This record gives sequence, C-alpha cells and structure tokens, in this order.
Amino acid sequence: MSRLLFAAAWCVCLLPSLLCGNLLCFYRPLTEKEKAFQPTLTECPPNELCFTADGRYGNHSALSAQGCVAAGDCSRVLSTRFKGTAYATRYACCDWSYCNSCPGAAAASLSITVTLTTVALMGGDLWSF
Amino acid sequence: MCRRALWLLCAGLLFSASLGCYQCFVDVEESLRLCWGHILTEYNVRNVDACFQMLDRIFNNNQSVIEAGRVGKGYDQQLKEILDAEILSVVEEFSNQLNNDSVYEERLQTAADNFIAAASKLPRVSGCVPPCGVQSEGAVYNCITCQFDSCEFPLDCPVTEMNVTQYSSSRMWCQVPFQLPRDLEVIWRFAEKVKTQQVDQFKEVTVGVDRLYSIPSTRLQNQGTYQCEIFSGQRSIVRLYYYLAVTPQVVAGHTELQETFDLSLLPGGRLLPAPGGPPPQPPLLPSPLLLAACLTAVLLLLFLSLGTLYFLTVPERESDCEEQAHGDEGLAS
Repeated sequence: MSRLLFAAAWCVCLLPSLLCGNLLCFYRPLTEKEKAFQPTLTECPPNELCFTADGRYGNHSALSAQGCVAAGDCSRVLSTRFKGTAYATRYACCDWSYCNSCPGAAAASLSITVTLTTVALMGGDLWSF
Repeated sequence: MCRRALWLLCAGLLFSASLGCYQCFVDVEESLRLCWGHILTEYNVRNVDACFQMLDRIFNNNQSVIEAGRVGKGYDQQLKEILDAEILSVVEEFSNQLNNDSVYEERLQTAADNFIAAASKLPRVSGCVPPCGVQSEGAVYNCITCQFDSCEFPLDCPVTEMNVTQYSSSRMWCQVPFQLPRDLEVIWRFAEKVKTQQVDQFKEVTVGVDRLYSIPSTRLQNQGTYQCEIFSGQRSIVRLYYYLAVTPQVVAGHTELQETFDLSLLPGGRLLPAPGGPPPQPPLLPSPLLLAACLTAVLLLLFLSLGTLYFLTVPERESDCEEQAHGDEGLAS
C-alpha cells in the first residue's frame, strides 16, 4: 500500500514528463490583473513548463501573465517595464497540462506531492508496526 | 548558458510589451485571436507565446514604428484607426486557421510597413523643450506610457544674468522657445537689489500683453531680479527671471560733465582761458570815422523825412483858406 502511494506521489511529479505530447498551458500576455478576458491555450516546446507570473510594484500585485517558460528559469525574478513603469515579476511553474490556470498552480502541485508522500510514509509506518 | 541567454532575451521580449504603439491601440482579445493559429515550425507546436514575441519585435520594439507614432495632440485617434485597420485585416485573414511562423512574419511585417507609411503622414509637432514651462501645444504621443507627454516642466525658468553700465539702456524679452497659446497676458514684476525666485519678494510692475521690458537709462536702483509671468486664461504657463546687475559709472566722467555744466553758467557766456593760451583781447569798438558817417546818414534821413512830411501837408492848408474866403463873400451878399 505504501509503495502504491509512493508511486502515486512520484507520478504526480513525473507523469507529465513521461507522456509523449508537449504541455498544454493557458496563455495570457502581461496585463493588468483587473483586466478580464478569456485566456487561450498554448502548446509548449520541449523542455518548457507552464507558468504564472506575478508583476509587483512594491507590495502591490498589479500585473499577471501565463504561458510557457524554460524550466531552468522558473525561480528567477525579472524586472519588467509596463507602460513606462518597472515591475518585479516572479514566476511560478508547473509541469502538467492546464496547471497554470490559477496563481497557486505550483503551490498546488507541491502540496499534492507532499501530501501523498506523507500518507505513503505514514502508511509504511503503520504496516511496519 | 547559451540557451539561458536566449531565454532571457525571449523573456525580455515577451515582457517588453510596455513599449510601442501596439499595446496602446490593439485589444488583447484581438491579439489572442490573431495568434491563435501560430505554428512554431521548429517544434511543430501551436505556440501563442512565440507569436506575441513576434508582435513585440515587429511593432513594439521597432524604432520606425515608434517614431511614426509620435504625433501631435488630437491625432492619436487617427493613429489608432490606422493600426486597428492593419491588424484587423490580419486577424480576419488568419481567423481559425493554422499558419507557420514564417507566414506570420511576412504578413505582420507588411502590416507594420503599411502603418509606418500611413502614420508618418500625420502632422508632427516640435515636442517638449526643456527646461521650463507648461507646453501643452508641443505634447507628443508617447507609445511607452500610452498618453501624450504633458511637458510638465517647472514653471520657474533658471535666472538669466544681465550686466549693464549705469545710464545705459536695458532690454528684457519675455520669450520662450516653444509655442504659446494666442490668448496671452504678461505680468512683469521686480524684486529690488536681490537675486531671487521667491514669488513673495516681487512687486507687480506692469500687466498687459507687452513682452518687452525696457529701461532707457538704467540707474543703480534698477538692480535686482525681474520676473515675467505668462498667463493663458487663468493658468500660468511659464515664469522667466532676469537678474540685472548695474555697474556704476566712473567718477572722472562725472567730474568732466559737472565742469562743463559749470562753465555754461559763467556771466556773459564767457569761457575760462585755456592754460598756456594767448592773453584775453579787449572788447572790439567801432572806429570814430565809422561813427561819424553813421551819424551823418541818420541825420540826413531824419531831414528828408521831415521835408516830405511838410510838403505833404501844404496843399491841405491852401484848400482850407480858399474855402474860408468863399464863406465870407456869401455873408456880404
């Protein structure tokens, strides 16, 4: 049982990479957060992940963006100019299709993995006992 | 490393949508429709990100496009119409179709060229001229901020220094290097002795439309700061400052003038003899012969006048006697 849970936990992380197809992500250009429009889908090239970006001006979260980004640069913070003003833009990445539909996509992925791992470990301990 | 650098470049392009006219005039929805069918041929994927990067490169980061968008006030609507027309035609052409990135490249470049050609025909203005003044007439559309540059420089211009000599003339012009509205009012103010830009130290001198302030003969008390403020309606446009430094006239010149003035007051209008000059001559008098001749001529004229007067009065007396005789004969008869 614990092994099954372990396998499930790792599948959450690695399954998108094991599929032959590329990731499908939501796309939204860098715009003001209050602007509401229907985002469209984009297909990522190989070695890219889905992302959501948060553009901040001081403590104020003003801009947002979605799309594809290189995996190696997910943790970077870029300075972006929008209509003459500089914003600090931070990325949150995830690696399964449609995962960047909300700002907490990466956090959700991480929380799922941690939960499954914990359950697996607890299950293993119970069986051992 | 190369891939990272390339990605950073792409990311920069991706998030540089804050530059250029495209972001100002084209709705995001239209752009998404335009990029829906973009095929990244290298990986054979339908990738919208790369299409937006292409839009940034061709429109937003294209210096020719940016320069074509620098139009004067009131022409931004025409600018929008031109760009919308170009983009809309591409949207309709590519609607619900898959096209390779090379096709997108060619078509979007054509649209950009058409925009440049049409927008460049719109009227241009001089733009903002630093360092001071509210220059509403010179505002240029800024495709970075998506609004007209307000040219909101400080009202107060730097102080211009002028040095003049006492008793010479001074002229100060209230002129600026940018276009001004037609309905102008000019106020000249003066702060005596000091070099300042503090408004409370100035006293109003003139109010009107005269942009020239002239002092025919500058005195020491004219030294100080002159302020010229230009109004349009009730709104102040610019304040110019001139600090007038007056150099006193030299004392020697003053002494010479005083001496000349004193000489003109000598009795009889006589001038003092110059040092080393010839001795003064006695006043000249006419010779005795000349005097005798003059007296003779005067007496002769007098006698001639008396003689003429006598001969003119004799016929009148004779006529009076005859009239009296005739009267006596009448009485005897």
